[in-house]
Amino acid sequence: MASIASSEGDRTLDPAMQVGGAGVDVASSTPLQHRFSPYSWNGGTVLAVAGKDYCVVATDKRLAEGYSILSRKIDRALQLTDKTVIACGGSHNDVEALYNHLKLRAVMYKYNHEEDLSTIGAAQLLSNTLYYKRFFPYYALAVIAGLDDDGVGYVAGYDAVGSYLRSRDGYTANGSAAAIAMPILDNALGKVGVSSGLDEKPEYSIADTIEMLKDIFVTVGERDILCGDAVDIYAITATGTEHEVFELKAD
Amino acid sequence: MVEENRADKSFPHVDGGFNFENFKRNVSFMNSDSGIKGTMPKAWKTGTTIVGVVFDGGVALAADTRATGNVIVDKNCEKIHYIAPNIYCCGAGTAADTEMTVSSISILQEPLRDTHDTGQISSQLELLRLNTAKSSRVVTAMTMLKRHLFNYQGHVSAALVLGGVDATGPHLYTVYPHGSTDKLPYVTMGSGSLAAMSVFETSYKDNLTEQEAIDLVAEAIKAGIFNDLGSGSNVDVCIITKDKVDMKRNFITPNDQGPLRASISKPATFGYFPPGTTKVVSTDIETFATVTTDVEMLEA
Amino acid sequence: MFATRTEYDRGVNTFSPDGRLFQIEYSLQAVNMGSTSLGVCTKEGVVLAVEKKLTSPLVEADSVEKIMEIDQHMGAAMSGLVADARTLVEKARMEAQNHLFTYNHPIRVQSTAQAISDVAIGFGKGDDVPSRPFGVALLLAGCDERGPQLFYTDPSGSFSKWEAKAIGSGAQGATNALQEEYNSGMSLDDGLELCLKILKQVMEEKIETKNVEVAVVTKEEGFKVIDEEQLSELIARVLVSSTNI
Repeated sequence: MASIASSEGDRTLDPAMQVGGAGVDVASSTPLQHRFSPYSWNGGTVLAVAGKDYCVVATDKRLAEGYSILSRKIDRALQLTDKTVIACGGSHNDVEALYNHLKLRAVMYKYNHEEDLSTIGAAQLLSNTLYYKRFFPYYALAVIAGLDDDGVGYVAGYDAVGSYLRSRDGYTANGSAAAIAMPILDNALGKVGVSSGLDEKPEYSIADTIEMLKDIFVTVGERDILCGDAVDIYAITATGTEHEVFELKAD
Repeated sequence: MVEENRADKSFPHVDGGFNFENFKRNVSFMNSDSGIKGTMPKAWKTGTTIVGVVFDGGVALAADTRATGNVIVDKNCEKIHYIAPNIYCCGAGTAADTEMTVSSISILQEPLRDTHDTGQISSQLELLRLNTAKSSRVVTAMTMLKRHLFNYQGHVSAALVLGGVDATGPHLYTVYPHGSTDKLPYVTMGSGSLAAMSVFETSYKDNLTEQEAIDLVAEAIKAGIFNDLGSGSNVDVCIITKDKVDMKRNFITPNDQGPLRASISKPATFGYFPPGTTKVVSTDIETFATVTTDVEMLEA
Repeated sequence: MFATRTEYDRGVNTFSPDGRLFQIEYSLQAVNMGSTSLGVCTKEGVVLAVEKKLTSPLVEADSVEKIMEIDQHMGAAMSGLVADARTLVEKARMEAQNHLFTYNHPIRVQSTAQAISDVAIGFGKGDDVPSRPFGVALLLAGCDERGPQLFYTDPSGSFSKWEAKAIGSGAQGATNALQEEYNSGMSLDDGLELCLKILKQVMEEKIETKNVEVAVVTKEEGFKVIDEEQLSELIARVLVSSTNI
């Protein structure tokens, strides 16, 4: 018997008896294996844009699994310090475990070194923390956003095992709808390899950047089923971080 | 006989049903260790909420309008299909399967049209009406659908809500991909069926008026649209009564993105593509033929 | 007095009835018997200067190292048991590299002093630390975002921040001299000169390039040991100015 039925929908017949008579069935020719599956995919899209003296990070508030909405008001972003925000798509259990660890590390850093963990420090710490679990990774697709030691906007995107890069052009996208959002950001802000009809890419104000990110979220929400409900927007400047929630479609 | 008429004899004749000639090849692709191992292309799903309810004197059908592949491939697709002048059918599952199983002859390939077991249901009913001079019965359509689906053992992924009014009154069925059927006063199907059914179980009562039925099915579809990620966008409703079919396409549009966009004051340079956006690197024109406009007199 | 001591100075974790840990006091005494080390913090950088007591004219002076680099931006001078200092410096180096690896940013001088003190008070608790207190004190000099800084760590596990500090056998005389002559506005050059001048005063031997070791830490260049050529110039300068007095 080449296949073992796992649920009502699966075929239990001997493959040789199946319609078509080819003898092997593509979908069920391998034995069903029961595996340890500690991850879920809860969606989550994160966009971040850095400016000369600001940084904006936006992430949606929908927590999804399969075709279900588990929450329409989840917090995906972590305000780690006054100058640093981290936001992740992925498996939300891992994201929360990661955040709890980073929060602890940031607090301990402040006790031990008598100052806030810098954005660059947090970026490296996040990378190390992810790579530390190289062979049982945190399923967290992270973006870090903040101000660097000179007060300049800093954004970096990560894979699940800690590879990260500070964006040269000051924008990044990660998570569920990153592939849809990235070309839009490329077109609006990219400095190499993209044409936009503008001779030079404008330097947008923090207010313009926020509006731009809202518009991109409306756009990707039209096509990505995991993205929707609302967006958390964090605008980071030297004077502090401002937070707003922008409502999206709920379908 | 059909084969003799073919211009291209090398094309294998299909005696009936589907063509399986690539099946073994695909299996070897899937299992190959030689570097060409791949994944089968993903079919579009309607990922759907479809419902139906019987009311006093007719049947109300309704559906959402989202089709999903890797992304949302259609934000306003049609899931309520014509079967006969007095019978319509909502389809959920693999988009191709629902469309090809249910819909009319005109979109079918010639080899399929000629064969007895894949002649699609609406076309077969059309022929049946021409031969018998009687209007179609819902039970006939239901039986043809279930036979077709059972024949393919669930491989044709069509989950249907079939409704209509015939000489014996209003009828409402669900047809599952493996060929089983139900006949019930209110039914739901698709990935949003549980959300929709929760509305029916809360609000359904016997002997609904037409307006009550419309409101109820619309509410059920909305439950699917907002609580099932496979369903979305708009509500289509179809009301079938004894003498009339009222197809209310986009009956409710609760997901208009216009107000959202209007609330955003994005910078003018964002998303603006003036002429010349794509830069001309070089121009090279080659003349292949010259068309003259001279008129010549011809001998009669 | 003598009888009391012999009763309570055996174990490292036994207080005397009047609340003293004699082993730690003895270790502080080991520092006081060590060669003199000086540290002077200026706005431009920090100076470290030590006397190298050469036990024999046959010993190679270069092999005696009493100022060690901890990271590119930090170094330490030692008085007391040099072997014990190596354990602390090794720990400080590890801590600095670990910080750089974890946070992609050089460690703070103060954090390093804290780390050294943690090891100092951790004696007797592990395989890689001695079972007795460390018989050495360090002058830790470094530059970070908070500017040039000088820290003093001792065997008791405490550390403190200083503008100028002297430790070792000549500490008393050197401290008096520092108190008189140090001012926080002085230049790095003045600091260097002051250190060598005081060393010259407190050393038993005649000062020369072979029996002193000097290093500076600046924001621009980090930790740098003064090479022999520059050192002989400095010594010459100090000798001239002192004969003038």
